[in-house]
Amino acid sequence: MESEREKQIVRYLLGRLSQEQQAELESAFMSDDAVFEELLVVENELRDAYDRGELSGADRRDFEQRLLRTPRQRKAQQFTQALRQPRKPSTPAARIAVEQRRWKLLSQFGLRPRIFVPALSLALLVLVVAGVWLVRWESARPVPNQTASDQGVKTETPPAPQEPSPTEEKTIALVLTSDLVRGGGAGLPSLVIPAGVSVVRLEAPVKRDFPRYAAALQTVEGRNVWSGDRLTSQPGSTGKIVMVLVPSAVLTPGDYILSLRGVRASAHAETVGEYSFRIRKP
Amino acid sequence: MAGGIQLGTMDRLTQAGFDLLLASLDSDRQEAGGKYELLRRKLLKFFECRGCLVPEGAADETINRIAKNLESGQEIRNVAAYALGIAHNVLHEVLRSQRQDELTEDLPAASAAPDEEAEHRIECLESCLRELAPGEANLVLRYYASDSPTHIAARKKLAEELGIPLNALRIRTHRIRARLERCVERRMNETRR
Repeated sequence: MESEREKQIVRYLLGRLSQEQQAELESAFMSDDAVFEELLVVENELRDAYDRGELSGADRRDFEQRLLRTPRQRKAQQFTQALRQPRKPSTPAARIAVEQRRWKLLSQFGLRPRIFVPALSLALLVLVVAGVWLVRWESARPVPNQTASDQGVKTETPPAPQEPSPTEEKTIALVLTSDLVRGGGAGLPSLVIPAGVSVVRLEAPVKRDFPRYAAALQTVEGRNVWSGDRLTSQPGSTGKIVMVLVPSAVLTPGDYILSLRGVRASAHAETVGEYSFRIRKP
Repeated sequence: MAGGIQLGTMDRLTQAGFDLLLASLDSDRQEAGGKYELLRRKLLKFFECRGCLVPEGAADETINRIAKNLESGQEIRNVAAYALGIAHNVLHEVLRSQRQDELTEDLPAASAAPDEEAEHRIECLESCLRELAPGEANLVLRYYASDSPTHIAARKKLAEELGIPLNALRIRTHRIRARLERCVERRMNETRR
């Protein structure tokens, strides 16, 4: 829970305090080391929130304008991003142990590394090519349950075994259009979530490619509903798309806006699109 | 010149002025050194938050002026409040200069190979993490590792495991993070040469 001081510090960092309020806070942190430390803690948490894609709208814009302005600030943001990267084994001994375990496993199968590695690479290449061919062949087949009235809406269930497994997640997809692209007369993409569907897959087309994307989902009233980062783009039928998997439990009937940002390796982020859609009552 | 900003007379910090400044911060020279570093960081933050594009230069100019005034015999009872007053004067000069420059200066070129630098930063971070006590490294990684929206619950759980309030965990993690950040910057500068 944020204290009043922390809220004041956030407003200070985002440039929203009056001159008088700024002067008061600056006098406090110049003379009181504990207040200065609190300022640094709050700034780090704001940087962390930005990296996670939790800031949206005016907060995100003000953050980018005020806290990513100087090289020193951008380095601080890059450090924040680096802290959340997946870790390698922590010591040289640990890394050697991982390698040794790997080769021991291979040798148990009578596999010599010098022959095994190229052979494995070739086998993997064959598998990848076969997989790509299979996916393309599958996507070219007509979907039996799709009707003309369900434009842009796809319901998928995994191939059913003899008896359906209770633990498999049912997913429904909604193809979005960028608010900039959709014309004034076109309606919002909308969806009724059937009972039993646990995940909604939002498919957002993007024109520019980034190493990763961060998504923030809000109601039209501005309430944060969900956010995620480390999303990547993939080929779609008409260009690149970013698939955003949202738990259906957070999508009550109403209108929503999905904001998508592309994030470069330097931690600099740009808004690539905003996508409005509607969840209708069953 | 980067930033193109002229800061008054660009006074240089003399040894005598520096000694007087340290003495005004603390009678113990070692303690005074720590307070000097903290004062400089506070001034940096002030200039950054007020929109100064060259906060390092502005902070140094502020300190130089304080030292020069001490050398000229001025008595300063409250260094923090005095520094803030000087900083406001420097800020006005800097912002005026920035407004004049922003229409004429080209934007700085993007640094080459940002992905390589990001990779290098991660390697330096790995190296600095190894220098921490195992408990400290584990604490800071767990604090920042979890994904949204579960990271708040994960941090609360971490605080419970350690038997400390959440706010104490935030401060503890922040201090470890600050040490890590300084280590990474040092390591990156060393390996860049």
